Amino acid sequence: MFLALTIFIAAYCFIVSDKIEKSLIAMFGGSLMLILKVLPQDKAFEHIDFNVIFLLISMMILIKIFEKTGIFQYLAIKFAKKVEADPTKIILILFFMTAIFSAFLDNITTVLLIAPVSILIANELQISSIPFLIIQIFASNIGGTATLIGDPPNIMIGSAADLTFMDFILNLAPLIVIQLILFSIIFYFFLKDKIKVTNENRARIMDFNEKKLLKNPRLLKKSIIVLALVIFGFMIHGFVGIEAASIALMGAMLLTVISEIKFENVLKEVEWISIFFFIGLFIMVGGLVETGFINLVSKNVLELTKGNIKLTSQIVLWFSGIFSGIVDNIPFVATMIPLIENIGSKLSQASILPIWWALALGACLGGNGTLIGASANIIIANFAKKSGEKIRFTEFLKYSIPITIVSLLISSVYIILRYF
Amino acid sequence: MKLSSILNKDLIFFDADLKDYKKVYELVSEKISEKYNLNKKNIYQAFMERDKLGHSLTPKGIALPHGRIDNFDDLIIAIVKTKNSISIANGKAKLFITLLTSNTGSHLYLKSLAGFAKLISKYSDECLNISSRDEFIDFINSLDIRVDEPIRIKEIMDDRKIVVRKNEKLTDVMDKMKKYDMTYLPVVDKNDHYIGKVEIVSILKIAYPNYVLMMSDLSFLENLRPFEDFANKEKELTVEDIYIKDDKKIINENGTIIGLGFLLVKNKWHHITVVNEDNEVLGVITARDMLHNIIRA
Repeated sequence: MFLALTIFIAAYCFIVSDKIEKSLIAMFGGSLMLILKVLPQDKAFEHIDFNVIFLLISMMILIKIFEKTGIFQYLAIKFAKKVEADPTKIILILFFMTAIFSAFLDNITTVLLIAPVSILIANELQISSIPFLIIQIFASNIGGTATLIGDPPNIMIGSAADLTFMDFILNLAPLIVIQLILFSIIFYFFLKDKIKVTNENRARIMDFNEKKLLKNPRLLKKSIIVLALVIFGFMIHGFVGIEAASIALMGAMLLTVISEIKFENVLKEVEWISIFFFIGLFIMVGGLVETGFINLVSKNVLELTKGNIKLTSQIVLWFSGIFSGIVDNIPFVATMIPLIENIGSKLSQASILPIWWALALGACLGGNGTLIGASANIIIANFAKKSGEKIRFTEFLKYSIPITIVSLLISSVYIILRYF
Repeated sequence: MKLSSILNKDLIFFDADLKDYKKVYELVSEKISEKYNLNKKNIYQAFMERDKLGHSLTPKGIALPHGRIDNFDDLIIAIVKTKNSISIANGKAKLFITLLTSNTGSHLYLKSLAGFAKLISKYSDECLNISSRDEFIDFINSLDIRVDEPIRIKEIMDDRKIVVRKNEKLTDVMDKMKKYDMTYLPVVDKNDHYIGKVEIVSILKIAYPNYVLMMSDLSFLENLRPFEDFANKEKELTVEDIYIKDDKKIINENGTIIGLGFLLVKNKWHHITVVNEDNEVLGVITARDMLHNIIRA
């Protein structure tokens, strides 16, 4: 157990330090556990959640093909023109667009596609792109919380706790809709009349011909049909007893076939580095489980909370919310999952549902806490830097801390009111 | 193998009274056809087809027409010196060194081309002043130009040593590129040591910041602010702001073009800097040099 813990903590420290590629650290730590016989290879491989792995790969394929249609940037510009290039309204539209796409696709791809067009619009309007980008960070993390596929922690939680796409929609989406509406109102009053643009600059946006972005209408039609089928499949996967990964995989393969893109090129688009990060993490967490460390911690947690689910869910929500703001939420959730599973085995699986929702809400919404709280935040911060406008860490905190606290507070009240 | 060894006495004609370069091709086609039992029309067409891509003509008046034909695996060289200069392309030529090879090129083809390039670069005047076939063969024989030697990097590199320094403004760099018809320049430090390169694409990138490059397409707009600001930026920025450090280089100017081609193809490079052992720039080679000096020499 000591060896497993040492390797795990050392790997965690390296991941936090961000000096070495985190996928390499996870895979190295996993390999070390195997070679030092912390756990046998067959057990280690059993801990790799292939439901998560294939759901991630399939969604990556679907989105990568979908993004070739130019639809994301087309919609961003189309809506910007609809509101007559009013900067405050554009910001709010991009806020909702980012949130919705983050929920039904994934938040990293969404910001990779929306952030460049936001900076372009801001530059053409000759205003700072920072408000656009900061608000998109919040939108991506809040929106991603709503569904099973919105954020990697949800995929992991859904798979481990056997929660369906509809479970997430019914339990988390209402809360997320409330938060999105509330924050959009706050942002509107905060930004209203603060950003001014000249008519000449506004005309530059109105002059965009967004239709030219839709270069492949046939592919767009095919992608929309397949994505709609996949989302429909997600909605009924609980009833028909087919795992979400199987539905996504079928959708990905179907779209690959009908899009006539070479499979070799499709596979090149998969972010294998992220996939191996998950594989390494699963093996390392498997080491902690097999050596009895997780069991030990869960016993202590139960003793502390005396089996009080209400108290435990609040602790998990706030602890994961704060922790995810500071470090990557994926390894954190990977560690918490077996812990909560263990608690569930001592109580009952049904009774710990609020704890799973607390973990999902804490881990995803907590990503808003700091500029390094989630991958989407880091991507946007890098974009801003490369465009000559730096989002300062402390400046971001001024907005992110109140937003995260309000967000977690609402979630806290929601959990108490809904489940107890 | 000596260059003179691949010449055929029966295919060298001096004092030919021809007034049109097409007549030269006709003469050459006829004589090659008779000697090697090849179709005359095909040979003539091969020379004419190649001419459509441009003529190889030296300023002093030596033309190097060449043609490629199917179902043929050899290299035949025919030389014609006309009585008077004949108009061809935008100049005039008096000495025609014609080469006929297969579609894929015989193994001696490129080497022979390089051999003639060497001959022309050093002995153009002598070649043009010789008045008889025997004298010409004796002269070529005496030079000991070999065609089985590999072509060396130094023979085809651009050795003008045009370089820039870190403090030079991009405006000056681009002026230099235009003046010397180069799309990239090596960067040297104060001790003239090679430290990297600056290329036109890196300079152009100023007009396309990262967020613009992340867009799938720009066809939806006709104006772009960073592009409009380009003129101001080129005056402000220096080589130091954009140059690529420690770029690819080769240290052996005596290396063969086979090794050079390998580097360019394998790494998908379009240019390379040649330096000496003290890291001083000796010249540059671009893929264009390979095309002009080797493949379509």
